[in-house]
Formats: sequence, structure tokens, C-alpha cells
Amino acid sequence: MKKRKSLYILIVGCGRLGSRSAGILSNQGHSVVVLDTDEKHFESLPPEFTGFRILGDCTEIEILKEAKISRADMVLAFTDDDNTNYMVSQVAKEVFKVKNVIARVYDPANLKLFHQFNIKTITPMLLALESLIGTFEAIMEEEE
Amino acid sequence: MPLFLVVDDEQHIRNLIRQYITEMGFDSDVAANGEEALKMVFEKKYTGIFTDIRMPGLDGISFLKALREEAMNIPSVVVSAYANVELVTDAFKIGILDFITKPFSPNEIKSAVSLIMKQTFDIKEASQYIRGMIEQKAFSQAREYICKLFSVFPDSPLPHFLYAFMKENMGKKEDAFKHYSASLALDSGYDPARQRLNNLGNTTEE
Repeated sequence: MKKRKSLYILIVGCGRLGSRSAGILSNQGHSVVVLDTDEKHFESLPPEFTGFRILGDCTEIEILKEAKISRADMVLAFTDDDNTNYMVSQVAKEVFKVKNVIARVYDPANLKLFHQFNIKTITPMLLALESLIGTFEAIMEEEE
Repeated sequence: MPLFLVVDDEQHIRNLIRQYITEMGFDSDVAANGEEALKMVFEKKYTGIFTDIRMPGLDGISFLKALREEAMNIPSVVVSAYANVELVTDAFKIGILDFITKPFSPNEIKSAVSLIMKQTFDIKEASQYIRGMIEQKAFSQAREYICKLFSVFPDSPLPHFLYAFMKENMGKKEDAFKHYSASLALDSGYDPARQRLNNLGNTTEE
């Protein structure tokens, strides 16, 4: 397997998805920074997380600068709010010229907005639907 | 062989810096505080040092001062979460090469490694050493060294020249031609590459 380059990854929002992603990505050798407004959320970071924690509001540009967003190879906007994720993603893409931005989008109706700015998205509802259809197809095949 | 020393009280930071040094093909040792690091510099010869500032026991600034008092001029880089003007000025007064704030990206550490290497590395000496390896047909060893040169001196025509010279000695003239040309593309006035390219052209015509 080709050896991968280590990246500088900023994860905004340290909830279940943010903290687990942080653990997996830092375990892969990337330099990971996690940003959240609530210190308690950092407690959910798994032991394999070897990166940096920044406590602050991601809607403040100074906090994003402190997290060195302009150096980031990738930004993951994983807060629990579509509006915040949209704002962070757009600022990362347009102001700080971050090449890869991935946002979590709860409401599929908002997807178009994200895709207009070339922001990659993860939508839990669509993923669940995809998984459901897969399982459904497998059951139907067994029934036949 | 270049060897780096990484001093930080947090294990995961030590490991992270160490990992990026390893990715560049260099070795490193680690220390958890200034005292430990001070003992180590007396035992081994280090090419460069990465040190944190705030550590229990001997802090980074005191450690760097102690080094200077012992007249040990090892190129050093500070990696710290605290970066007020006073601290940065103090560090640069001691003669550090660079000040990196946490969180850091892999590239910041790698650029600092290159900066240290450029300060200490005698590229001409290394070039002769590698040419010796090629002439003795120790190709895998030579390749390893040339790759390190590529990572530290990406803008220099020399790594391409040496790579081409190795390929030429391996009988792979097409590859050699490509890399001599790349060497000239980086520096059109680089005569050794032009000469080898001319020679290669003549032998191919024959």
C-alpha cells in the first residue's frame, strides 16, 4: 500500500462524530485539531486521539485563526447545527482557501446550498436510508 | 547520519514531531524535560533540537541557555503553545532558528527540519559520499540518501543529478536522461548535468 502523506486536519465540533473521527484520523498519523465551545465535549475523545484541543467559538474568525485554519489540508464541519456547519465550511473554503471541506448536513433540503460551494457533505438520514435499502435488498434476496 | 532530539513533556506531542521527522527519513531521540535532554546532548551528537518551553523541571528556555553556556551550538527550534512577544524575543535572543506555535501542521515541522539541515548539512560532502556509493554499485544505499536530499533540498539541481548519475551507472539511460534534464530545469547553469547529458547523447548516438 502506498504510504500516505500526513495531513493537517481541523475538526469543528467534538460530538460523537467529531470525537470518533478525531481518534481515527490521529491514529492514522495526521495532525488533528479539535475545536469546540464546550470543554466537557473533549472528554469523549478516545485514547488514540493524539492531537490538539482548542476551546472556543468556531463562528469567531480569531478562533479559526488560532487553530491555523489557513494551513489546514482538510476541515470537517461536524457541529450539530446545519447553519454553523455551513458558515464554517464557507469561511474555510472561500476565506482561507482550504482545499477539502466536509460538512455534516442534517436536513437534506440544505444539501444544494453546500454543494453550490463545492463542499462535500455527509447526511446521516441519507446514510441511514442507504443502509436500510441495502439491508432490505439482502433480505429480499434471501426470501426469493 | 542526521539525528534529532525532541523535548516535550507530553508524550503524544513528542511522538507526533518524531513521526514527521521519520517521514523525512531521519532518526530522532526523545526527552520528557530539559534535564533529561541536557544529559542526552552530552552523550550523543545531535543535528538539531525541537523543544517545548513549559515543562516540569528544567524548562525549554533554561535548557537552551544551558546548552549555550556549554558552548554547544546545536540548531534549535521551539515548539510551544505559548507565544507572547516576550517569550518569542527571549527564545530568539538565545539564537533559535524558528518558533512554531501549537497546534502545528506536519509541514511546519518538516520545514523546520529542512531549515536545520540547510544550516548544518554540507551538501558537497554528501554529494561526494553518494557518488562514492554509486561508483561502488551500492545502489539501494545511494537511493536512500538521495531521497533524503530530495526532501531537504527540493529546489536544488543536485538530488536529480545524483539520481540520474545512479540510473546511468545502473544502465538505465532513459531514466538518467530524464533526471539530468530535471536537474537542468531547476538550474540551467548547472554544468555537471549538462556535461553528463552531452555524454549520454553521444553514447546513445553511437
